[in-house]
Amino acid sequence: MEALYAFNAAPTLHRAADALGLAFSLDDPAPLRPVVEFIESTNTNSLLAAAAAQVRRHLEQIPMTGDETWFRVEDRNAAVGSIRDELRRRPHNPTKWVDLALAQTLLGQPGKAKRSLSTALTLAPLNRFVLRSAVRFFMHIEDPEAAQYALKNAKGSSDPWILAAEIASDEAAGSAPSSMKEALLVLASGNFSAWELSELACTVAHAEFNGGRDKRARKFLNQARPQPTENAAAQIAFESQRGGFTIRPVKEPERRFEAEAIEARWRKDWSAAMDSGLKWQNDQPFAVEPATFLSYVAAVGAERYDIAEQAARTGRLANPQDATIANNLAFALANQDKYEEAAAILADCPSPQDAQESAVYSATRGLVAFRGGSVEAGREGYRQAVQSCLDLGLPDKAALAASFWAREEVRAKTPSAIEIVNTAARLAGHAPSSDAEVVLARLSEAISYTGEARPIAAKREGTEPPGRP
Amino acid sequence: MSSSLSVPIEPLVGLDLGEGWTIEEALPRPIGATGGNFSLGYLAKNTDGRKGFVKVINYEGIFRSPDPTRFMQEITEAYNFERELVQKCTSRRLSRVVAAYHHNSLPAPPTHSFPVSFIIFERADGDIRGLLDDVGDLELAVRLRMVHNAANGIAQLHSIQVAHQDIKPSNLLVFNPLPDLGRTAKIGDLGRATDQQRSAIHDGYVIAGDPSYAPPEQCFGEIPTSFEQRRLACDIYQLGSLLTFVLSDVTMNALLHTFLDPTHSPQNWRGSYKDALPYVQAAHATALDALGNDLRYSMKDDMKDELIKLISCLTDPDLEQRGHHASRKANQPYALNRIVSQLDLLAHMAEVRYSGAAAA
Repeated sequence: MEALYAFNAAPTLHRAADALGLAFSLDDPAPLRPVVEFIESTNTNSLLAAAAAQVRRHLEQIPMTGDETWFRVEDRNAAVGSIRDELRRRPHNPTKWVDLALAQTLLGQPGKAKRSLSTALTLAPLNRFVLRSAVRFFMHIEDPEAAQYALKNAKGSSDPWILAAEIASDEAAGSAPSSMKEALLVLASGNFSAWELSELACTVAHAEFNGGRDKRARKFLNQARPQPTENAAAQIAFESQRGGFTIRPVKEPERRFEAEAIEARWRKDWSAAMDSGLKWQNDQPFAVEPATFLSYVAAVGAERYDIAEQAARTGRLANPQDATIANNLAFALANQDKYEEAAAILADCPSPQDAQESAVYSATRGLVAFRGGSVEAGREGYRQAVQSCLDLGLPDKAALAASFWAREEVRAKTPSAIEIVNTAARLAGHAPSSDAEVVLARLSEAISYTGEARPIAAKREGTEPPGRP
Repeated sequence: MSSSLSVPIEPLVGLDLGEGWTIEEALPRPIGATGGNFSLGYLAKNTDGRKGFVKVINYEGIFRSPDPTRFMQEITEAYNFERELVQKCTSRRLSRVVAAYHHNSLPAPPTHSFPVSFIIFERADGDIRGLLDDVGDLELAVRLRMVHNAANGIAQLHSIQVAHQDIKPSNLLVFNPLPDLGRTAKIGDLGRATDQQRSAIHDGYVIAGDPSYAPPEQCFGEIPTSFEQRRLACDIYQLGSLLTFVLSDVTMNALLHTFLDPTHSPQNWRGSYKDALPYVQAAHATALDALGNDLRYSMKDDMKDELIKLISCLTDPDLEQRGHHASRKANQPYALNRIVSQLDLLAHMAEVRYSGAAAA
């Protein structure tokens, strides 16, 4: 505190600069306010200004915001180069290896990312950040066994963050959670704050829901409510949506983009869903989930195909083999009449992994064919998609495919347009929560507005409909 | 920790301390938080013309404290420890550590209620902060020479098995004996030092010196068991932080605070230092990059790179990596000889390149 006394007795720049070092050890930065104000009032070097600005953030409790520059390939390449430079100078820093793995993941280089993470794990096999990053990565590349292996050294840990990762990876690998007993002890121990326990509570709740023990599951979900992390808030939103009940966090986390996106999509507030989805993807540009979410809500809900295209392209960079992202990109492109590129993407797409994925592909192929002028091929694609969805017991997906089919028939002014619209409406009637309703409502509006079938795209672009008085 | 203790300072002015010393003036502020709350500062003059700084135990402050017996024991122990330590340093003629001229305990003078226990140190013209404030654009050569002097002082202390543990800008005292000789600097305030051959009351504290300048392992509550890792490595970190401050106006701890995510700060971290280390290392690496960026305008790249490398090894958050790499290879990780030489070389380089006038 001597530095602060000295500054208060006779304020000078270097006494202020000296006193600023107190920020590292003070619990409450309030006594540093005059110091920060003094530095701010002087023309000082950028480093001291940055240090003062950081203390100011603590004083004003301004949340940290990251400068996100991951969206362009050249930025990602530059990031890899810069991290490699740092690692050449300081190769023993495990967090930098994790940063490198993230940058490599964003560039769609999972093999290199895996090697970088292995190095980080060798340097810090028990570090929470390294372990959780590794688990997240292995989940991302759908290798939960590798996640389990990475966690083997941490077995027996009573760290709630690591326990949550252990249970999540066991669940993903299809094995019984081996650390459930420890997790329950930690949750009951009272040794951790509500915030620290929230992710573990949600992970345990998820496992309990999956095991059909809904009552227990909701108890753990409630334990996460008081002060959830962003992930826990998203998990609460997801489980609430899945279970059809309402549990809301008591204290919302600052960066709950994922949860907000899920909640907005659930109440069909497409604009808010898109807004939160953008922030979610900004937060996790490597992840499949925000890319598929955003490209879906932007295209289907908000008809913002440009945003859907960008979201899918961003996600595809890190996940070139993801079939859903590729499909959503083709869908967004076709809707902007870029059907040649859409067709090329579909041709290069990885093969569908199951019948549902195959049905979605058929529908998108139908759309691309319609936009390319091949009505019969388009019709066949949609017919296959609707039939497959019905066969698979997915009435909501069948209704959605049928509604887009109807939209294309109307747009192409075919004689069977009204028949397909009626079919789509019938299917939507059997799937009340389907997004088909949104598509059909827009279609109905377009038809009633003009009194005839007309291009849907024309309305979106704001052109005057023919025959309008 | 209050600066408002009601202390009758004036009665001691004019007091004859013996051996030709007379108190001339009372210093208006507390000497310092690290042991200084129960000390008072005065300026004194000797009949032979020497000037001194007098540190006097504030008995009145002790008696007014909530726990006078405990404080009395602590303060007198600390006083005796410092007195013996400065005596040891003076007898070993440590040229870069502030010397003590005289010490004694006098019975209470007529104008005062308490005895006067004091140590008279050689008097500096100010500390490095004052110099940096007074000379807006202080030459790089002078800055580096000051830190070289500090490193020399710490090395001298280490050579007699003493660790300073409270190296900070206010303890780098600047002397300006003759205009032609330039400035010189010495390390002052041994109030929180540790002598390997003698125990002190603050030896048991996790952070012996000022917490603002403590190395990260101490801020996170880590207590290394060996004297080398706990004490010498602390001095090395603080030297690196001092070098950072002298070059950039920001201490390494302020930079760590700037670049360490708040969830990993010492205040919020619940785990061990080992677990926090990767985050601290990442913040340290970012801090060094920012520092390098800042320094590139004031010196050539080769010198900047050398200085960043030196600061990096001095302030490395990992105790196993701290210190000069060649010293580590020689199994003396916290030896300062190579660091002193390197600072000397860098100061010379700066003198040749950037300066006509050199510091002593």
